[in-house]
Amino acid sequence: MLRTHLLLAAAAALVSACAKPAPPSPPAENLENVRRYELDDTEGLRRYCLTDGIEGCSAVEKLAAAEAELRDLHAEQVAAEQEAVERVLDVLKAPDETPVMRITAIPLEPDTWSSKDQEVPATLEVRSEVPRGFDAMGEGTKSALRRELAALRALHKGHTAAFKDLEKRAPRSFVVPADIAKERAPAPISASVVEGNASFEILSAALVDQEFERVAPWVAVVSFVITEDGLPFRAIDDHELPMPAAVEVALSESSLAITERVPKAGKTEVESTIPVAAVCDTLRGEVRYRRADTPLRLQASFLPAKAAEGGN
Amino acid sequence: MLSSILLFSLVGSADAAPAPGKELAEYRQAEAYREAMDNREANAVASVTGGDSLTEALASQLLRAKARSGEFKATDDGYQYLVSVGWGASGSITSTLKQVGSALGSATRGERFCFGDGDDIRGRLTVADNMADAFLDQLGVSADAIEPRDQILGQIKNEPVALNTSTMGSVLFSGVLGALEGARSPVDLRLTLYAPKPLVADDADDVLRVTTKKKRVIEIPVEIIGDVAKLDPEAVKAARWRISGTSREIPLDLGYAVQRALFTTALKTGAARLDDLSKEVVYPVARQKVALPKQEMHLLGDRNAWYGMQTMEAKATVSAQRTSGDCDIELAFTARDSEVAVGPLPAGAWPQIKSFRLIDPAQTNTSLAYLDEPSEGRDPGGVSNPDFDERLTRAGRCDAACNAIPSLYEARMAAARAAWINEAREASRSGDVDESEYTAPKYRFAETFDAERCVEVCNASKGYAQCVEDLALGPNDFLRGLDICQAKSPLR
Repeated sequence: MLRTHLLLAAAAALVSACAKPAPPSPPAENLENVRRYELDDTEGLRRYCLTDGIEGCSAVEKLAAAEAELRDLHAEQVAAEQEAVERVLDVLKAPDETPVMRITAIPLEPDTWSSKDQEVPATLEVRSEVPRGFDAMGEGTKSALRRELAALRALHKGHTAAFKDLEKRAPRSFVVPADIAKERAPAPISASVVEGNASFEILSAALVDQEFERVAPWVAVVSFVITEDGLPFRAIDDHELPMPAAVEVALSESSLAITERVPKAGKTEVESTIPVAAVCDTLRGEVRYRRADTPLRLQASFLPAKAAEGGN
Repeated sequence: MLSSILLFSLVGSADAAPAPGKELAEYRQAEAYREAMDNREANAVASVTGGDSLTEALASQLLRAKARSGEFKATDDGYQYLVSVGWGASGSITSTLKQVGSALGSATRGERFCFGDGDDIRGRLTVADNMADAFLDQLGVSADAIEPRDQILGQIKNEPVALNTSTMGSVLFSGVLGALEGARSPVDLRLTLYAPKPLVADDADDVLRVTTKKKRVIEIPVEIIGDVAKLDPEAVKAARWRISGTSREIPLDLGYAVQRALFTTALKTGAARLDDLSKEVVYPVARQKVALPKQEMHLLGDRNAWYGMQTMEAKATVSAQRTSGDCDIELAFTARDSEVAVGPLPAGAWPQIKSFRLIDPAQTNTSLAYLDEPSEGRDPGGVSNPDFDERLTRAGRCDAACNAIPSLYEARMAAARAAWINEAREASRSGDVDESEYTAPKYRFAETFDAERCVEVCNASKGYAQCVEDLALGPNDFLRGLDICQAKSPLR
């Protein structure tokens, strides 16, 4: 503690001296025989206001240069991997074809009807065949995705090696800055396709700010339809059957997972209650497809209320 | 409902025919009308209007909504269009007036009712005098409210003023009106205010009282500035007006604006003047709001492609007034423009919209249907329904059949060996059999059976699937059957 105080006092004196040399104090009264204190050598102190270069500057410069070089390389690699990820995502934006469906009406039983105003259950059998996702997305989708994923994987492999190489060339004490280390944290990329699964890692920074606007999956709309004046396709009732997306993409800032839809065949039944009179209006079953985010296009018909009532 | 009013009319005619005189016929007609008005079930007007009031019915039939201009507004979900909807008298009320007229009995003389939009007359109906008030009542109009009344225009201290019962009280108004009787040109009248005692308390009594620190009280006489004169209520109550040229005294009533204005002047001079007085007849307007039918605005494209709908509600103003022209009573139906916000829709949808169609849902039924044809039919798997259904369950069946075959194969081969040994024993005198002499039956294709491969082929071939399924049931000629199945395998 005492040493600290002395050092502080000396430093204060040094600063004070550097800033403005103080004049010597007058001697005390009637003390001529007393040995005087020597004057402080302010000139001497002044000399120490500047020193020669402190050792280590070259080391700092080497560290700075190493960091700058590493940062440049890192930024270049992140940009390259970001572009490669974008190319992968572009492949996955290809719209898919509609599934294949066939609807079959189970015959009604007119012999059991008792009134023309009666409502009866009616059933449609829906047989569907959903192809594997890449087949639905068009020829070449699978190979394009494989190509882009392989390119991304190879790119990252090369980046890792180049970065390590540069890291080795840096001064032994050099530590990769925390922000770069964070951006280089491995982010898993996985692809699950009909043939099997694959996964590898890329720089997590390559996934930051990536956006994927997926193509909405199909919804099959199975309807009982009649024909009316001015309305060729008037639905009595409809049923919506959501279809699985051709490819599911789970994208976050730390991972990308691609899952291809596996082919599937299925059969289901939809039942509606229909007025038996509708049979005379060419009642039939129809199927339409719409994207999950887009409604089917509709058509309106306007009839005077009395005329409409009279028509029944 | 319409039939009931017509029926009622016919009944009325039949009853009226033997009536002894015109007055009785009119009386009965009016009574019957009132009865009909009172009875909601048999309400003749309701039968014409479908349950609405007659005024509502006429407003809804006369006024028609029409979309005019609009402007876009950006929202989070796209663009909204704010459409201005105007109401014009483009509808027809002729039929309704005709039915009402028939129900009331045709009248050639009586009150002439005119219906329009304030500018043009769109329909007329003459109602017998003795039924006019009831008819007005049915229209929601009080006969008293539109009764013409006298009004006097004049000036007080050069300020124009309208004198009527509501501005100056009926007693003073009738007094002034009487004074103007017979006058052909504008008249000036002097109204003198008589009071038994001073109307205003003496302001000289007002003092400002101040208490000093030493609790001494000082009073200073002050003059009050402004209209803070203290009236003596008793004196005001007893005050009377006397109109020049008359001896009648009319009580002062400060509840009326004109009397207050006159009083202010008279306080200073003892009298006030009404200058330049002239009489006129005023035809009051009775206004009422009635609901217009709810409207639906549909957004339509080519081939009536439907892009959505918005409902809107509005009210009409019905102004009733007696007139001195061709119409005794005129009813004007008007409505302010409405603003309807349609959408929001994506920017790409708006160019597809070609028109806004306004309909009254009570009058028009809207049906919606698909605009586009159904999807082109395609056969799943290109197979028949039974074949498709069979495929759906084949995987499970193939698994079971193919995996059962190896153990069956082993069992059958073992059985064949055992049978040979038995036979050999029976054939040998000693009963000793050299089993090494046994030669297993040769089934070239069966020997190559592999369950995993079987499942694969089975899933791909209906015929093969049927073959191995039959085998799994364990036919007697299993080994031969398996040999055949394998020989027929499409992927051999």
